[in-house]
Amino acid sequence: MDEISRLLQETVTKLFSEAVTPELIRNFEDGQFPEELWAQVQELGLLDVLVADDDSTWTSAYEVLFALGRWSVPIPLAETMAARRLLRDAGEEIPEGIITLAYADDYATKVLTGVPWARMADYVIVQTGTGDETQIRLMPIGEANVSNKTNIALEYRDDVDISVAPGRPVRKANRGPTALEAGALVRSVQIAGALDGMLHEAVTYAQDRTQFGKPIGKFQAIQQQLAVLAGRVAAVGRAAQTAAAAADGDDPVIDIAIAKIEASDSVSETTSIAHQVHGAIGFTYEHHLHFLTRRAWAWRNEFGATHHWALPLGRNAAQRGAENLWSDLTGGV
Amino acid sequence: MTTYFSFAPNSLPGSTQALREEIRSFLDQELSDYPAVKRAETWMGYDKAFSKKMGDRGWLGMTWPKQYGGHERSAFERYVVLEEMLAAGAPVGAHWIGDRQSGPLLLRFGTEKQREEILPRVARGEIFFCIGMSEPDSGSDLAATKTRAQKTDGGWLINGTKLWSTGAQHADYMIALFRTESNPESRHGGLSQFLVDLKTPGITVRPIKDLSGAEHFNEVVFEDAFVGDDWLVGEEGGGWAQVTAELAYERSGPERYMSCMPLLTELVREIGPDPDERQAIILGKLIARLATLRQMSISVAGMLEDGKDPALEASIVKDQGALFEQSLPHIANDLIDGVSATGTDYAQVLNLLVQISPSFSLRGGTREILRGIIARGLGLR
Ligand SMILES: Cc1cc2nc3c(=O)[nH]c(=O)nc-3n(C[C@H](O)[C@H](O)[C@H](O)COP(=O)(O)OP(=O)(O)OC[C@H]3O[C@@H](n4cnc5c(N)ncnc54)[C@H](O)[C@@H]3O)c2cc1C
Repeated sequence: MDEISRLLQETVTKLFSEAVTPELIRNFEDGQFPEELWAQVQELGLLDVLVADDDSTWTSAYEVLFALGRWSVPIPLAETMAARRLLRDAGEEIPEGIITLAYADDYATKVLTGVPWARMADYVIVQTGTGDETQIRLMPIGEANVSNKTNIALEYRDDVDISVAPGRPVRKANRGPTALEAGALVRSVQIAGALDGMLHEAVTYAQDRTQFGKPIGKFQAIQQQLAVLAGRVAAVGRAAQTAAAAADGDDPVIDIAIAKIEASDSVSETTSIAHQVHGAIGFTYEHHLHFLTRRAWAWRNEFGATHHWALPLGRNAAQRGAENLWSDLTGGV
Repeated sequence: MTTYFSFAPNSLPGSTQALREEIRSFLDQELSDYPAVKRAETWMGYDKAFSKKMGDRGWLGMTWPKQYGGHERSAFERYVVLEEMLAAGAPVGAHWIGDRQSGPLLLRFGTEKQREEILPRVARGEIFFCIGMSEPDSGSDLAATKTRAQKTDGGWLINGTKLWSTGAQHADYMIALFRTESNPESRHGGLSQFLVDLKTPGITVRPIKDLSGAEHFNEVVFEDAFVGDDWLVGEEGGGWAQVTAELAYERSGPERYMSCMPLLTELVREIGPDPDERQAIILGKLIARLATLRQMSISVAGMLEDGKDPALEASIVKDQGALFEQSLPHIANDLIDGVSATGTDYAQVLNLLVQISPSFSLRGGTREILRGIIARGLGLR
């Protein structure tokens, strides 16, 4: 890991592991946004992690995104970080404030649904269409009608009526991810972090909880499940890291698709194991495991669920044909 | 970043690209009329002449010191050779074991004489190895090894039976685990490794048909077979630690998720350029998983290159890899309706791999044993 990544990792791990207590998240779920934490994050310059220097990278930003997932941090940092980078890549001015990301298939869409943190955002970058159809707009949220909604982790995922104020077009960057791809990348890394959190929780719990006179982690049935969980954690982390590195290059769409498929597709098995190992206590609101698992359940569907990314990947492979399958797979490295 | 294991985001150095091209053109030539169903055997395919050609090219013993016939190339370069061979379904079975584990084992634990005598010939693709770990009553529980090596004048007398030794009917040597002490103090004591010349009198090799009708593995019976003192590998009584190290080599390579690569290729051919939505989605998921396993496997190669011990990471890749390659034939089977019995290439490849797939989570350590190793890495044991 390079020096910048290591420093970032240390900073965010310290900040989030101390500040983001179960109580803070419960308060957030009761309607109390963590203002103090958000102020700290801004002071530390974390909003600018992807734009601070000419050589700021997604590779380093991975550490921040991972920690956001690992510690279930309920703030609009991932989106703002990514949005600022997208604007910079496009050669646009970067406005102050919170910027979020949204995607719709169709340019004529009147109401954007599930827009992260829209109620508190200043701007939204809206992508409509993909590939050659891609259009990007920047819209001040103040001009739109926002209805408050949440995902199943009670994170703000609002509906934004843009019929009165469609925003202004933004150039397309000629390298790096699109808004949809950036969103998928961000969620993949957050899922990787959340899964890692589940592994830590489940292993620790298995070592502490005693039944039949010994820690349940001594039972082979539990060990075998945790080994599977570890395997998925390793896979999703590796795929997400590859995607982040690819986002620093010209055309990251395939690596991001792979990461989002792996991340989203692993959520069912990993959350099941984490909960199974925790028994009934993990099913209570009081216990903090669900802050991780509910986020994973929500995030797997955001910025494209498994099938959204798997369909074009599979179609592309079929079109490229058997002769190109292996050379395409190895083309990246 | 997790604390339990490390999968560094290595990518293969750009310098491996030329090597890859070289391998591909070699394979295009060598395998131009090699049938799909043979390719599906991947590292079970056995062809000594092919192995010799690889030796001639410097693609065996790649990372070993030149002084022992090696080529002092990087773990990444070796990785590229392995994955290209597997992707093409080349018949690499003859040299696979010697190159992957017996050679490195001798390099690490062997005597100078053993290294000088054996390794250059392995690297040239002239001699071939098999593994003698399992026995009738000792599978996962290797410490239960019964085959006896009894000290005698100038060497050891071997009595007992090794089972499931892949390729023993064609191999020149076996690296075998024998009991050199009957009632050791510790359960893992009293075991030693030997380099056994399979032409030694008193050794009988009997091939065992597998469920597909093919003969890959064997029963190897030892009746007063004499092995000279010079052929003890490593320390007397140090067999357990050595065999553990050997198994780590055995688990670290891309063959642990690529056994079905020829099937994936044929599947894409069979589906054609216009997949239906379900086929495309499932194909996309398979490709995502394959690409991710490959990245993980390259991380393991990176750890080997850095001289680290990737035992935990390798077990994770093998476990996840076995899940992938074991499910692939069945997923493929469900993707296309009405595959004829044995008519097409695709059907033949599919039918073979459906039958072979149960072995993927047995050979090289069962799924349950690997997961035990992973659990230990998590601090649970
Ligand atoms: C195709 C193939 C090639 C092979 N090639 C070789 C070779 O070249 N050389 C060689 O030495 N061996 C070889 N083997 C043998 C292989 O290493 C063994 O099959 C393997 O170690 C398991 O041993 P076993 O078959 O006796 O099964 P067992 O050990 O009897 O296991 C049967 C089942 O019980 C489970 N089990 C056993 N112990 C435990 C435990 N403690 N906890 C939980 N579950 C447990 C196993 O996981 C498995 O599911 C090969 C096997 C196959 C299938």
